[in-house]
Amino acid sequence: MITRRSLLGAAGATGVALVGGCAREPEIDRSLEPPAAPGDSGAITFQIWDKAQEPAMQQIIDAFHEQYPDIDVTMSSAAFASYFERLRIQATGDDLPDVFWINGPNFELYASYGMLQDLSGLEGFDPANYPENLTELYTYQGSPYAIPKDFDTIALWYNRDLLHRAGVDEPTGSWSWEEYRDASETVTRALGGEQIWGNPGGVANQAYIYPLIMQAGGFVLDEGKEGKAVSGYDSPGAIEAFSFLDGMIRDGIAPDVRYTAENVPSDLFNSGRAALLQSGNWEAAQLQDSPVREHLGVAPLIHGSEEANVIHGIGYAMSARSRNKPAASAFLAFLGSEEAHRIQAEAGAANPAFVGTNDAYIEAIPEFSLDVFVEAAETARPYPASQNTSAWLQLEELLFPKILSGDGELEKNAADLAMRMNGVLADES
Amino acid sequence: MNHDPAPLTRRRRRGRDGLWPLVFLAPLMIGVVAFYFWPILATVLNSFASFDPFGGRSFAGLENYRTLLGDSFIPRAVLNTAVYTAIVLLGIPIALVVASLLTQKGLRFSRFYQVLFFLPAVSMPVAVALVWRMIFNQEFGVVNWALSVIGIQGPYWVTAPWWSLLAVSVVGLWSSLPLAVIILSAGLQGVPPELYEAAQLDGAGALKQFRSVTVPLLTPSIFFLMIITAINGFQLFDLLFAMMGQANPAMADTQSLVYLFYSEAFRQNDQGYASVIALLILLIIGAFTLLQFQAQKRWVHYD
Amino acid sequence: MTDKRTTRPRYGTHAALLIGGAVMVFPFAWQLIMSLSTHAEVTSVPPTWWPESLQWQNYPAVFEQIPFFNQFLTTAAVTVARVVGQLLLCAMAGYAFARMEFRGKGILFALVLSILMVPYQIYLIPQYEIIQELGWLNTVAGIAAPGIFSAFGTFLMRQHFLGMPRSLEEAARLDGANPWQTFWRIMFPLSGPSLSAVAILTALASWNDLMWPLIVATYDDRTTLAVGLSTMQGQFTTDYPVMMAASFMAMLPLMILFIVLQRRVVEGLAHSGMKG
Repeated sequence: MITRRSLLGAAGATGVALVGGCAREPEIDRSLEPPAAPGDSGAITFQIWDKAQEPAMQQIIDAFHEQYPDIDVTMSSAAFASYFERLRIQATGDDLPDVFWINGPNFELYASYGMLQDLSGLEGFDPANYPENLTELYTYQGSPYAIPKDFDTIALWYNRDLLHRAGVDEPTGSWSWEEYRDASETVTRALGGEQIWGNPGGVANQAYIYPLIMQAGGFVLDEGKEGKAVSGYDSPGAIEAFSFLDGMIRDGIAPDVRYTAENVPSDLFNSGRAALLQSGNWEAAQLQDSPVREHLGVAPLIHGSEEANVIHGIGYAMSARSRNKPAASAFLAFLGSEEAHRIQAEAGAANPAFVGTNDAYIEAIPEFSLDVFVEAAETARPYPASQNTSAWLQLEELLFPKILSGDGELEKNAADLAMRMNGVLADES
Repeated sequence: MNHDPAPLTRRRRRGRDGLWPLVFLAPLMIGVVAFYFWPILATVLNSFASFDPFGGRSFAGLENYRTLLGDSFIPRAVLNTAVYTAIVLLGIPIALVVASLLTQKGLRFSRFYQVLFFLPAVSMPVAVALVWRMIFNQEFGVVNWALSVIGIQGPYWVTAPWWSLLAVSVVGLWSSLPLAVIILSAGLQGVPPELYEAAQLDGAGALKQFRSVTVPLLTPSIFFLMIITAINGFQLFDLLFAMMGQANPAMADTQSLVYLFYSEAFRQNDQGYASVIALLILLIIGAFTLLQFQAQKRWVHYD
Repeated sequence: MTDKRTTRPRYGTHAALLIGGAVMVFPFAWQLIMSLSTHAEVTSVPPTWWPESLQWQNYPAVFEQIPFFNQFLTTAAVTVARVVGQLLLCAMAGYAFARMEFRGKGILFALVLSILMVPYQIYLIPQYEIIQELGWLNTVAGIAAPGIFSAFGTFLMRQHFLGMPRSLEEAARLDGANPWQTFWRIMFPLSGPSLSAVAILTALASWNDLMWPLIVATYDDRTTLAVGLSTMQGQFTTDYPVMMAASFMAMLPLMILFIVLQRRVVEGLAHSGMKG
């Protein structure tokens, strides 16, 4: 039963929090304690968002248990759609999991508000073991705050069978925008009667719109005057990229956004209803169970006036307020180890970030030549992120489809997105 | 818990029931104050604050209120919310017809029909939104298949502006209909048969009886339904969220007020501005409810 | 049934109710059919009205995707806690508002009702802070607590007590019973239908609630079915048939409960009209 006193106490405590605001910050101990010894006992929590990776993560936990039999790790997974909403409420309530996944868009927010543990002194963690553009993503003011877990780059998935039936040659190298458009058009015209598309359209940011904008010489986010970042959605390069996509929709080459909102592009490709899919290596896990998997291949990403790929990877972070830092440190160091990266690679769960372990991933899913994705990492540009990225991501989610909706106001809608995004960026500290 | 009656002297001063109201109300009120009154108060205070994403706040005066006036999403969201509420309110006359058919004396299979009409009340919004999304699917949905049979090319129900609002409203109506049918059926069963007999002696036909006997007696129930339906309508969120999904080109034109609140509070990390939107919702609902209470004096009959 | 008017079959009424009823249950029927179909059949044009062979394996597949049994138990425990707590607290408060005289009664009642006008999202963060302070995150108590205190339940119980004759209490008072005894021994036991109505409405709200358990119960095996379903939806490719099977299994217990209690629910809501 609820007692009166505990409830009043709780209400009082929140009252103090309201008045105090940031005042509770200084109380926490930010120092990183040495990791637990193998015989130590403890219990920590670990939060992830991808259910498909749960088995691989569980294997890593089991391997950790062999070394630290008395440290319990409780894993929980939340749907990605609500993961960061939940994480932020946990952070607000001082109840972050001890160790958790974080991504590029949210990293700076958590790091800059002191939610993440500075990992500079973490025993067993050497940033040199991971590609530089990934460690950079997880560095804040010169210190690492998360360990790279994996990475994704973008390439062109294709369905050999559909291309062949439409009389299009398989891509052997990187196609230009025109070649991509022509191939899409040929397939759509030839096989449209069977409800098959050349490319399945869509409004994916990391996989589709970001690289195209960069390839057209535009930018998503750039340093502006007075140190504030500015949005590039009204830049000529961005308009060119949007117009390219809009043109294919208008000419009936790619499905329109009302259609792709109901029929997810990757589902269309997965079920053999699209010949081309520009997307990341994360598709591999789903596509290896696809009914058309024996027809699938991977080619390098298309290119515009410039070549541009985007790299992003998940990071493992520790809460700065973890109540069991020694155990969390031991687990985190293990998560960053070659052994753990090899486990997730062999499970085919994700392309590991630990340099030299990628072969295990490529071999885990031998039907696709995943080395294309690994090669792309070397020259890929970092994923655009600012302090409050999730705020403008929401604007993208709302307005990308509107920009490509064919309502005849592409530039106006793009300018609207840029204006709203600049408003968000101006509020960042 | 203290069950002792209060001493007589105090009892007189506090009214006939002494401390007993406290005994009966305290358990509920403790929770209500902590879990509901306190958050409402916090929202009012927060509307004057500027927030960092993790709850730290500083005084911002009327800044958030100024933002509200300049936000071009707001007018459309007010309109969308009002349209949704209006459509869902149409469920009450429909429910009245259904309830009067269901409660006809001696109707066979009436229990079976009741089950059919009550069942949507138990639907789980997350689950049912997905089913409806598929029913309304432009390509393989049942609705557009039915339209194609009569030669009409159906629209994108879920992903085109206005159509999406209509689709969400239809589902809202569907899911709120059962409660209205239940309440009105209950009210109809309470109508004394003598009244109909008297009306019949006066020569009133079935329709006349319905208008002059049934409806007036049901006005308290209808009023109650209007209040709760409107309140729920103005709070449209879950259904919209679950049915529209992500990357939806119609979302920008179909947002409801609570959806805007949710975006600001949980996605944009701006709890201060979100609080202002919450107060706007509260104001609209409060004003509408007050208006209904004023108007009821003219048409609701208790007795 | 001996009345002449009622023995004549009413084809119009039956036709109207059958068609309307079919529309109302169609989504459930369609869900059931999809849960026994293949993914290709679910997305076929024109729609596949009946699967070529029934895909029963979609049901066991649910157990591989979410800890259905644990989530079912949690959901059931939360629902029972909320129903029992609400019946007691709302009946007590409703009785006080209906039958007792005290200063500020009208204002207090209006304040309690005003809770209904506030979108629930604004309660989320403050409520979370309280539950966290109590150490109740990831517990049945934490998921159930805020929902026990219901303005709507209080309102319904007040309406119910307003509609009961005062003579019963007068008799009890003359026998020397104090207000608690009067309430607990006489009024509460006579409130069956209204209590059933509150119980079923609470059970529905509790069973189907998504946002709150999503936030307070972060572990898959300690959260509710609604959250479990939503995590299934959040995956890269949605497996529609298995999803439909999971939804159907999640809804079934309440459907049965509702059909069993149907008559009492109708009775219980008879007095819900807004009075005074």
